Amino acid sequence: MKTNIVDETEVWAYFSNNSDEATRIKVENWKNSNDFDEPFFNSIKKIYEVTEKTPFNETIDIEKEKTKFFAAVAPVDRKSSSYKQYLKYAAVMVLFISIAGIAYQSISKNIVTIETGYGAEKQITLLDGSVVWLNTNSKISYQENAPRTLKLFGEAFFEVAKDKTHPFTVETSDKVIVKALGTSFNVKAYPKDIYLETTLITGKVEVSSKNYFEEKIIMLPKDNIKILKADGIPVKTIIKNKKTILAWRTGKIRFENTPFKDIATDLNNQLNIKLVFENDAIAKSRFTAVFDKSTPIEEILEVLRTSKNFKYNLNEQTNEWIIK
Amino acid sequence: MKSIRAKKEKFSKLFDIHYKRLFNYAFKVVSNRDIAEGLVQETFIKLWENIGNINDDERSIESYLITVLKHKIIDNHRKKQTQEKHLNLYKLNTEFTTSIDGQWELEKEIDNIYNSLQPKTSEIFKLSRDKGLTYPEIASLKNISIKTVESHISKALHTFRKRLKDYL
Repeated sequence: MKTNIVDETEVWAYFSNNSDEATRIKVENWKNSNDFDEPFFNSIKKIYEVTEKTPFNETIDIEKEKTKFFAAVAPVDRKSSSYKQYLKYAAVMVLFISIAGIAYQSISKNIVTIETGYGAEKQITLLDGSVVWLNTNSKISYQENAPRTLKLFGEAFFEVAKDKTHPFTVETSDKVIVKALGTSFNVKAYPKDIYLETTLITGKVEVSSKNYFEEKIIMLPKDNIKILKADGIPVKTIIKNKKTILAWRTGKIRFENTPFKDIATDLNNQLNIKLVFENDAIAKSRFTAVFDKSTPIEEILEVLRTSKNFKYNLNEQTNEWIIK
Repeated sequence: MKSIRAKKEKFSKLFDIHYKRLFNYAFKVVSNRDIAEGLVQETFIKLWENIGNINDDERSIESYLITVLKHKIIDNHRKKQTQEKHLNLYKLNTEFTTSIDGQWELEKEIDNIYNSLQPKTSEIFKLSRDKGLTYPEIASLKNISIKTVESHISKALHTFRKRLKDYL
């Protein structure tokens, strides 16, 4: 048998992330040396894993569970009403199971992730009753036990279930946080976009940012806030037509007086179509239009060409549409 | 037949004794708090309905609870599988049954080990494992030397390694 130059308390400290630097280096060196005893090391690792408590071990409320239980079993007319209670319970279970079914494949370490591919949208009901419409090429994730704290990549519209004690927050990849109490709002934060954007439809939300600005911004209905990623300055405008913001929910792409290059970014994010401009003037010219997401790109370009004069061709090697 | 009140008192005690362990087990297997809570609730409801047919001793009640809960977990798993239209349903279910049986044995053995350690050793080990404290932190909290902390940790690890041999 090998003699271990590192003892179990050191390996244990190493796994529980509580070792001092010297111990950590000692264990690392041991791992790379000839004295390394892998079965021993793995057995300590396994002990660490199997003794893990559930993440909310401290918050298990036995009394609450008792109350729930007695409510289910103890009515005066036991036979019929306990059966009814049971049915109600069963209905709740089915709901949970179906939600779990949707998200099941991507559950790992209690993080639930829901994604959409190019050209697809999805409607999701969270466990707290809030509804999320996820636009194409987007992703939300949350810890299973905290469905009101979401991370978002891409674009989504939220209809938040009221719950004053648990704020509903959406965090984008660049750490802009939109916090709501009971409201509906849209957040657009594709990594490729040069700005991120949030629009409030009803209620009230608070926008804060770890990276860009210090003060919190309170938004009222119809407010739209755009944050240019380059300088991080938030710009607030009042939207005239909320249909433009929410068009994607009905499978449409809608532009209102939007520069062609921004349209190109949207087409890239949502349909994976790449447009390259060789003509700066046309890139900056503005368009107002509505398309179905299923409209072929040639048709979209043909329609835009009716109002502004430009030419286009497809570079088949790079699969880019050249606009000139 | 016993009065409802006596029955309720009995169940209140049964919740205190068994709830946490059953819930923790169910959660580890189904990875969803709401589903785990629901399954444990249903398990107790089943016991409430059938308590008259079961021997009235700790052991029989515990084994009844765990048997019902395992069935409920398997049932829940099967529903999920059907939804996902898995092809080899039988194979997956057999594997799943074996794995959840093993998981319960393991949870029970871990509880037993904690109970078999000296209370002091168990307490210090949990400060490290569950609270994430460093050895110096535990030493100053308990007013003992770091060496003593290490010897408790070492004793606990020895016991775990010996008694969990089949699982490690």
